[in-house]
Amino acid sequence: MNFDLNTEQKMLKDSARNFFSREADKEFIREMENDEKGYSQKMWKKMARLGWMGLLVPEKYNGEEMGFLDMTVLLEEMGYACLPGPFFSTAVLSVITLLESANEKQKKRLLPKIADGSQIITLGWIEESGTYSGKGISAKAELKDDNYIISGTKLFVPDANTADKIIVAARTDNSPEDPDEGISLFVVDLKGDLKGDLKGDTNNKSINIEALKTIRSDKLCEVTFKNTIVPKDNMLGEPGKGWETLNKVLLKAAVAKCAEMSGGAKRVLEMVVEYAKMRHQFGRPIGSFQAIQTGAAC
Amino acid sequence: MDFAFTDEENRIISEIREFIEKESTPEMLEETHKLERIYGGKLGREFIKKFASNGWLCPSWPEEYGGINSSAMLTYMIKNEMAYSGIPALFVGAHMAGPTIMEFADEKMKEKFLLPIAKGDLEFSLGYSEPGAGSDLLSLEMRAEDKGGHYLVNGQKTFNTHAHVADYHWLAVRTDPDAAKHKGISILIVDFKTPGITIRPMITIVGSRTNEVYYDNVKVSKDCLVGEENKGFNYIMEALDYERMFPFAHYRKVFENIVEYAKEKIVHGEPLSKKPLVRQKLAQLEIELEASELLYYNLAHVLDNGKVPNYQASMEKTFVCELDQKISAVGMEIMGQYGQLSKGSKWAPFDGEMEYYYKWSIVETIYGGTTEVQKNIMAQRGLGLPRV
Repeated sequence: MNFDLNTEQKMLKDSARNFFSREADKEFIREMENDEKGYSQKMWKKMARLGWMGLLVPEKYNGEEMGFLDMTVLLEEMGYACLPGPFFSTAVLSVITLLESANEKQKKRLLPKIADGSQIITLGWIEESGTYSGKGISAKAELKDDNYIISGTKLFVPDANTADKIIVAARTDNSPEDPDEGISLFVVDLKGDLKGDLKGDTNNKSINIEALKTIRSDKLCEVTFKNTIVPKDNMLGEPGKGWETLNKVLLKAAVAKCAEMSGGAKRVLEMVVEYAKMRHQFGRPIGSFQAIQTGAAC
Repeated sequence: MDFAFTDEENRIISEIREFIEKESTPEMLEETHKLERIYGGKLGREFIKKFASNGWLCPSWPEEYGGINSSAMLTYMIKNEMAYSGIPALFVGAHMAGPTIMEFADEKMKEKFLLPIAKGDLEFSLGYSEPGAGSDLLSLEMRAEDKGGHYLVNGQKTFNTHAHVADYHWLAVRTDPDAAKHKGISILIVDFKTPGITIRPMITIVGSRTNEVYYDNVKVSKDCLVGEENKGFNYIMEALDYERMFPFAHYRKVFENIVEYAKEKIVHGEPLSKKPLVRQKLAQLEIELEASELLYYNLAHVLDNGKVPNYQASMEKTFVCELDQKISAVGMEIMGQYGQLSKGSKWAPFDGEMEYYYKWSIVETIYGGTTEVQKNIMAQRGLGLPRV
């Protein structure tokens, strides 16, 4: 077992630490809380130039083709910086979903645009039950000629307010024996102004996006589809096998989230220790009291 | 030993319940919520004046000062009812300054303040903490110089919560900088309209407002001195004990809402309340709520026996605030994705109450002395362990 970062990982960590300390100070993060988009496009482009959006994307789709472990190094730094924005939904959730399920043609069209920072893509799976399970999915996708017609409501969709596309989980079979069966994944265009891109669906008036206010002012949305027409070529993977894909995504996303949170926790502990050394009461730094020491150490 | 309330106590509580039901308006409750239940808002004042005309604001006070000579027990029942119902529940005048004035001030000051406090006409703001004096209150530096007929006050206070809505400042100042730390502090009652006072907001994690207050050559008459000069620290200690006697029933209400949510929220064809994990967590909270009820009413019992609770107040405050955090955390877990939604979100249960109280319970644990400070008090005064 070796817990040391390799040279490449060290470089990634250092460059991320430097970048965020320069570009994402406290004022910026507070500003983003109240910002409608919740991220800075200028910064997004810079992050793309550093290769971060395409970290998990294979080289043949213009990505960096680095490993998942490398991604956790970067995410830890993002947590450390308390970075707001659609990185997690685009470069983690969506990239993993696409790598697990998209066909060659779809990958070629979508992944390079994620890697170069020109497209934000999110994932809409949770519904009213609030659970990550096949049982919770009741949005419907019905095949009509060459299109699927999607109807249903997705909740807690991250960054849908700024995303160009959304990957949606919907039922193509309404009464399977196993509720994890019969779910399919579709790429749906949210902006509808990208000509020739996966035959972008242009009737996006059938989609309603409403941002939900949350405890940390991140951008979680309700996304409602009402007879949204999606070309059948936009289906990812085999029909009915969507949950199999999402199950894998869920496990990897959980690990990725842990990396982000452990970075955040590290920063909080640093702040606590710094304050305990600096703040004086009763004529000494409060960090000299055992109650504070055991609290900080446990 | 008798754990039941008397018929008379129960009768008055149901009368109060009816009054609140009848007289409180959604606008007043909204204002009170925005003020974090502190007293001083316009609609809250209108309501409390009516409420107080029954002697319910300071019920244990003598009738000449606007009370009904009740037991501390009934007072505590009323305070808890107020916390439960969402009307103003945090009073500096009625709950902290008032009792201290009653005990230590001269007749003239009692005449001036006690009846108006009990009628709800006046509210105070505590003026203790300073940038360098938080838990270590003895280090406070705000200076009041004796200028013969008046004091000249200069300095800065922080975390003075009611200051922006109160009428008077219950101000701790240093009147003798050469004496031992605890022998040079006095309490002044200062009218906030006095020239030279500036109040600025400090905003907390939950968005609530507390204040920093600046004194710039403020002239304060010597009539405003509470009790004796340089004995202020004793008065503060006693008022702090009163501050720590926390009603807890606002979290009883939060808990009831969580239980209701668990019963009504159907997940995969079954209410959440059928899940063993959910049921066990809720049952545990009910145990602890009942324990906090006993700790709370024990304070009234001690008062009714002619003593001022001291480490017992710290015990109750710590237990209740830590429980508030637990209730909020369990609520967040049970509501899952929905728990994070704020007031105004379409899908937020109880209009975003969960995430609000999750943050508010942290604020509450800090003010009036943090858990760590309370535990030191319990160790030293309650258990007789040596000072560090």
